[in-house]
Amino acid sequence: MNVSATDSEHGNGFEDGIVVSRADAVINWVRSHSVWPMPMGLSCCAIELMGVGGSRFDIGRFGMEVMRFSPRQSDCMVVAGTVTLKVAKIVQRLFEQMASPKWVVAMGACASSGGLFRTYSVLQGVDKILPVDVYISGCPPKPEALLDGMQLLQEKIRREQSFRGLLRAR
Amino acid sequence: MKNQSLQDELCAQFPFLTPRIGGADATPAVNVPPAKLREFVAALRETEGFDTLADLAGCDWGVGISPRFSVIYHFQRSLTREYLRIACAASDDNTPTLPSLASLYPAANWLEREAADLFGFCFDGHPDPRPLLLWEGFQGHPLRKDFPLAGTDTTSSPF
Repeated sequence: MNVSATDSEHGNGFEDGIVVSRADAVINWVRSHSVWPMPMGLSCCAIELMGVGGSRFDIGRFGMEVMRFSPRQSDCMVVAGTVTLKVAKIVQRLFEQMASPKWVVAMGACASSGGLFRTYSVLQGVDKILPVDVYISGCPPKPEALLDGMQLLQEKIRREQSFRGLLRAR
Repeated sequence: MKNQSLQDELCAQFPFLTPRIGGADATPAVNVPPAKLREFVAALRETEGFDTLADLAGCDWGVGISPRFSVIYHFQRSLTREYLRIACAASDDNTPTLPSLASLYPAANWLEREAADLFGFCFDGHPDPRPLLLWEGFQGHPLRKDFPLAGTDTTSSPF
């Protein structure tokens, strides 16, 4: 984060209640620490996703504990599991219902590439229908891997030019 | 012993049956010709007391083998806890056709629709022959031996 001019000795610090910074830095700081995931739990990866929500791994440390089951209230779709062709259209519609800004994490081998299900019924990677930001390997990924992926997503959010597109839908 | 006697009894009672080689557990199993399937199953239900259709499975024995397709029915008689497996080979190797059992056992309704989806069986007299697992317009039958393992071109699917 690029917060500058916080030194009180120079007369423009916190004691005046004013902090000068770049808009992008502030917006990205806010966004990256309140990523509300939408758990798109489609198979066993969802169990690991639930584990991450529990006290042992505690995704709340990163401001992501607010799992929303409504696409209207969430920022990041975590596609956790096998996307079959029959459910793909529903996944796509749910993503379209999410408000911008929004991100997609493909959790696990199935969501990333179809995994071991190279069959007639399975979509070979959710990136065929959604713009995926972070891919997480594993079958299923360990909770640590998911947390690592979510931190990567935070890193990505921090680098976005968010002010330029603030009033535009993405 | 008891199981073996059931198989022998049925074969003696219904001359069109042929005994089927069972597995190591020697569960009674018989082959039924398609023309006699409904008659035999109705007798199983009405007089022999087999009140449950536990499962119904399609089988593709392989390209070039004739008869290529069979349906294997698993029945249970809950009064004596006995189990009977019957197999019925379809005579047509391209569009295998068998009589539907859905009017005798309601459980057969969805099971037959599944077998029709995945193997391309045609069940004569089925009350609701829509696809069950696959969508309308799906090309091919995925569990046939000559269906490509990786699937066909899915970009043309409605999903």
